Amino acid sequence: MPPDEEHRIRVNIDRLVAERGMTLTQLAERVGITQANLSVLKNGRARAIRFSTLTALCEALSCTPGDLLSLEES
Amino acid sequence: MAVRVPASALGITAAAGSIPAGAQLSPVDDQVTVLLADPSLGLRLLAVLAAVPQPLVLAAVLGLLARWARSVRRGATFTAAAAARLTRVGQVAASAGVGAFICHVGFAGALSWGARPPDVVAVPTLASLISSLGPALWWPAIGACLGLVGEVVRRGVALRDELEGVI
Repeated sequence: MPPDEEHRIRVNIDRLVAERGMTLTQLAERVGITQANLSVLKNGRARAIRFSTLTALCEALSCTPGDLLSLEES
Repeated sequence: MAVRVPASALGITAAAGSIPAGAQLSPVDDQVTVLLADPSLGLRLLAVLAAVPQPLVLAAVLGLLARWARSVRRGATFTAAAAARLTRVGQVAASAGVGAFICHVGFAGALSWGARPPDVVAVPTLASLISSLGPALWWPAIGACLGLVGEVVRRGVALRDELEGVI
């Protein structure tokens, strides 16, 4: 896929963080990534996500990849 | 001072049996080495001009490569600037190298012409012309090698850009 091509994957970090009463800073610390990278991921500007990062996010938010990622309608 | 001269310019031919015992003509370029005991200033100048250009280009290319290596050691290797710079060094090596080789052939030819006996007209054989052009291919080959490494760096830049978006 060309790097600048639009995608329709939504990363539901904001909702999950709010539901669990966490802050983005706390989530970044628990997952072990920078807040800048968490912001990139949250805003859909990441080109890809490592399975290890996805695993850490799911563990930190007690959710599944399906809860974290969803496909927006075109 | 030693000068390479076509054997025909000295009236030496294998068929005529004029080669001294124990000596033989090079089957590749039909050249013999002539030792000039007291060359004129013009011949000395031609000898210098024939010898200098290619080592000069080689030194310049090595200097540019050393500068490139220093710059990537200080910063990052896989940058667009590093790739472009390496490609430029390759282009310089190819173009300046061929130019220097042409200068070398021209000055060496003039030197050879000046070293012949005055009553002899030397005509180079096709084989000697072809064999003398062979070394010219080294410069484009060096340029192509540097260009290939530049292409590898360019692809590394693209790969790094791709990986920077992976979280």
